[in-house]
Amino acid sequence: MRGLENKVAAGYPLTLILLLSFVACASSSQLIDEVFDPVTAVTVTISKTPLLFYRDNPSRAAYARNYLHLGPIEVNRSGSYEYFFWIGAWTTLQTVDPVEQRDGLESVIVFADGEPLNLELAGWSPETIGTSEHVYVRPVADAIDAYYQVTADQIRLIAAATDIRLRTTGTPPRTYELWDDQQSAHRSLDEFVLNSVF
Amino acid sequence: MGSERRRSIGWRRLAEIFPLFAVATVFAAPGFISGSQITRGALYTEISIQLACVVEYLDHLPANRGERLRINLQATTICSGVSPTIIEEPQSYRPQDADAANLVEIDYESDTAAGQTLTLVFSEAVRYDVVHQDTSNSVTVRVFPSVPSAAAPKEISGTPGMRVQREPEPESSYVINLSSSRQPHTSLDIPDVVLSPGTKLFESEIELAGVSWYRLRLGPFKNTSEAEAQLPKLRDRFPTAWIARDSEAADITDTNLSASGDVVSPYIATNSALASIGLDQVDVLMSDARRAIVAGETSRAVQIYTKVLQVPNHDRHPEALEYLALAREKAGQTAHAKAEYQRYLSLYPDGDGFPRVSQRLVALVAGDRQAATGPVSSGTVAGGAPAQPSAWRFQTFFSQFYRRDANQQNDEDQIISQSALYSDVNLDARRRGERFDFSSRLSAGYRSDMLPEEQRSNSNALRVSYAYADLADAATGLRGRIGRQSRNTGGVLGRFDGVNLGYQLSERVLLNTVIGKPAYSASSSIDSSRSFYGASIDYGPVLENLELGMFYIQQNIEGIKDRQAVGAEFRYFGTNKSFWGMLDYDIYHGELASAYLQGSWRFPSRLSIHGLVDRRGSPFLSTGNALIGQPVFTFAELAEIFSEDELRQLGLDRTSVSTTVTAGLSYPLTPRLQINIDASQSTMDGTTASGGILATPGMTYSYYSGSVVASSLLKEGDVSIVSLRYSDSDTSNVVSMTFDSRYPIGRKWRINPRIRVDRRQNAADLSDEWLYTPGLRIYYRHSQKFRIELEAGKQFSQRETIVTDIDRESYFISIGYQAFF
Repeated sequence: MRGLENKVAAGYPLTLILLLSFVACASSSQLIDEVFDPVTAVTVTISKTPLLFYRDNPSRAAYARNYLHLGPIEVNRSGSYEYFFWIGAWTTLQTVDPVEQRDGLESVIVFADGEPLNLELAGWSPETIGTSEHVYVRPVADAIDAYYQVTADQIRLIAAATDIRLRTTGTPPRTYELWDDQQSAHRSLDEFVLNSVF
Repeated sequence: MGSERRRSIGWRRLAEIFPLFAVATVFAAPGFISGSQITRGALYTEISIQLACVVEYLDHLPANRGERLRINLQATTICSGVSPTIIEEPQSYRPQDADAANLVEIDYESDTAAGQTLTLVFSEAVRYDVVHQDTSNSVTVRVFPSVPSAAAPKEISGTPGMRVQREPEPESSYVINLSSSRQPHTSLDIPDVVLSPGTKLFESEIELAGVSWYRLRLGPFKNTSEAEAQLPKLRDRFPTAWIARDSEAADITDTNLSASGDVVSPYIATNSALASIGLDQVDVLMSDARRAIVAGETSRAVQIYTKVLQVPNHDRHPEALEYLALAREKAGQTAHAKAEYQRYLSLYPDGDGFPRVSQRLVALVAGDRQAATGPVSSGTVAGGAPAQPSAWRFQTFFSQFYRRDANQQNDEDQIISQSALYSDVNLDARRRGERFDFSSRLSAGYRSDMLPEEQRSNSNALRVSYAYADLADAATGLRGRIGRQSRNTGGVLGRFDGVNLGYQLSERVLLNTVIGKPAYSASSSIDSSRSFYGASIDYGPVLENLELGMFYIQQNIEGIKDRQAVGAEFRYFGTNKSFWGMLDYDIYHGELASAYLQGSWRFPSRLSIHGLVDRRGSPFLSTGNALIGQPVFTFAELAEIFSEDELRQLGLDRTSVSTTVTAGLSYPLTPRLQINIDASQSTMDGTTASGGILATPGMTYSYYSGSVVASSLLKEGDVSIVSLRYSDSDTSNVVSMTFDSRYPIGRKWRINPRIRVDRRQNAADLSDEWLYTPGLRIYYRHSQKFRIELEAGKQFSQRETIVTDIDRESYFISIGYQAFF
């Protein structure tokens, strides 16, 4: 029994070291982050500022909105690269069941200057992209995380667009508009594209 | 650190496998010519010259053949990592592997009459194409190899009274002349024709009456009947094609453009060594090319993919062509990349990669424009085909959903409360120009009530969410939008009809002005009683990713100030934390109209906490709120009764203040299992009695919720959620438990069974109510452009009051589709 306790006790520092190294290995530019996940041994690059989309609910209140964050992810697994979009969904509508916030996120269409790009859900957990935890900070505790596998070209197309909209499925579908004047997010996305392989 | 690893992988291995192909390497140079790359291909040898500064291509001489090629440029001061003074320094440069292109050297002169000049000196007269963009930091020259004609005359030397002896005529001596031109055919002009075994595409040059003619030819054929058999197949594409004896070309020089094979790709070569490469070796080549591109060795990748394309009779041609284009794009050879993408789209219009390649081409075009003129839109013509930068592009999105709600109490008749068809359409039209970008959007919906006339609670309704035209000027940074639109910053409260003008003052400073009339509902027409104008400034990013914005806005209603506000907004996203705040202070009413602060912080222990404080007027503070409860229909009528000061006070009195404080945390127990906990309390202050309207009491509402989210339990992409929530208000308290599970089935189906159980205790009649709500969502993606969704649910409720029991049943069904084209 005591041996088990010792093992557990010994595990905490190790876990702590691993977690601290997750932070310590973070090499950051001003606009993108590149971090190494010591648990899954992948290197992940993200834009520091994800794009923000919103959907008004004027019948409820002026500031009652649904929000979506859209952030690119590059996962480097020993030289094998994969690309994803993360969507973080949340709402300021208190009456909405958090479970229902997932509705329609299984399939999302991003319109980049009118060009439709289909994003099909790859998964809801960080395991989908091969990391041990979510790589983007959730804006709120009950936000929904969703991951979509994409090509670098789809990311590039979105980065080059000035008018971006996002439409979920669901009954009925919902259209989200791009929050105005997100200079940091656009520049982060541009930087991400410039640093991605292809 | 990732990039270093990319570069280190694959180089040695590739060099071992392909020593003969190792002719394309990027070499750096110290002057204005910063580097070069020479790639030997089957059709031509390509010289890519990298320049330290962005240049504008002017012209080149001679047009397509000669020993000295002069390319006139106009250099800009946009230089990468060097001072623009480098433009003034002449340079003489010999690239590595110059011999592969018959190149002696490249001379750079800066002070010529034409501006700057690159002179390529060849060891002999060669034929070439100059591939260029209007502005770029590279110039590419394709040098075509010269192949002596098989039927060229041969002189017997040393004999007086010279006699020309023609070599024995080859057995194959007929060709089909596809087209003739006074300009050499470029590599992009090579047609995609099916070649029969033993034939090839080539170009002949002949001089007639002192004029050089270039003939695009297919052959050889053994006899005229064999050629005639091919001719009808080519007439659609080449109506003027004709059959000629190859011996007619006694004084021509032939250039191979492709060779025999039965594949349409012009890359196919006759090289027997290539033809003997097995399909398994093609797979190895493709894998190596992939590794090369990942390792950042794009020139290697270009070589390998080109080699793969030269191997006949394998099914990886489309993939190789796509990746060849991709590799060229990554190598900065954008003109080449575009050509390859276009070739792919032409060769494989039904290929799986067609949409993807279209998007890549669009992105490439957009990227070029962005580099040249700042962020602008991209485009394809309708149908998804790639478009030229200035083309119009149209996109339509359409959806229809039918919704039916029904309920029944005890044994009474079922009541259909809703039966309606919701139709939505979104039309986008765009046109990109060199300087101006135009876009327009119409987004509208229509609700068709399908209930009998006497049962309708809502009539048919048209909703216009967006209807605007937008014009952006890349030269000045001005942008204007007119029509029904929406804004969420600058104090604007969402949708409005009006004009928004933006001006990018500098890289970090954006100015906006807005004028219009609010359209709080998409169903409403233009509100003639209210109008507003305002200005805002956005600055950022500062201090990493902090963005700041400030605004002033004034809104009038019937000539009286409705709201006059100043405000600010900030947003910050860091690696492990984010903050967002907004403040809107109404200086006319002297009250805080809205304040919002939200923060999220993730600790090294992976615990994330979040907090939110939201204080706002409800409804939003405005003088127009004075109309609430008054026995008149318009504000103008109210303004005849009360003075402006009284109206302002009445507006304040009717506006309650809502305050919400929320705190929560989330923690990943494992990568597949996460727990979330939230607590929130909201209060809404009461309003005072005034103007003949009674006071309203305040209200409180709070909830506490926890959920466990399990992902990928059965298969990748599934999720199951169990949540428990307790909410408490002045009228009831509710305990809810939800189980929600979502499964992907194959690539096209998703199902989502769910059930929710609520226990509600109502304060008004002390009743106890149980509600059971099972439901099912099914999603089906038929194609990239068409999807169907079904949602159905039923609710059973049992309510026990002191007097009686009430059983209710209700159901709903919603089914619809989305399509875009």
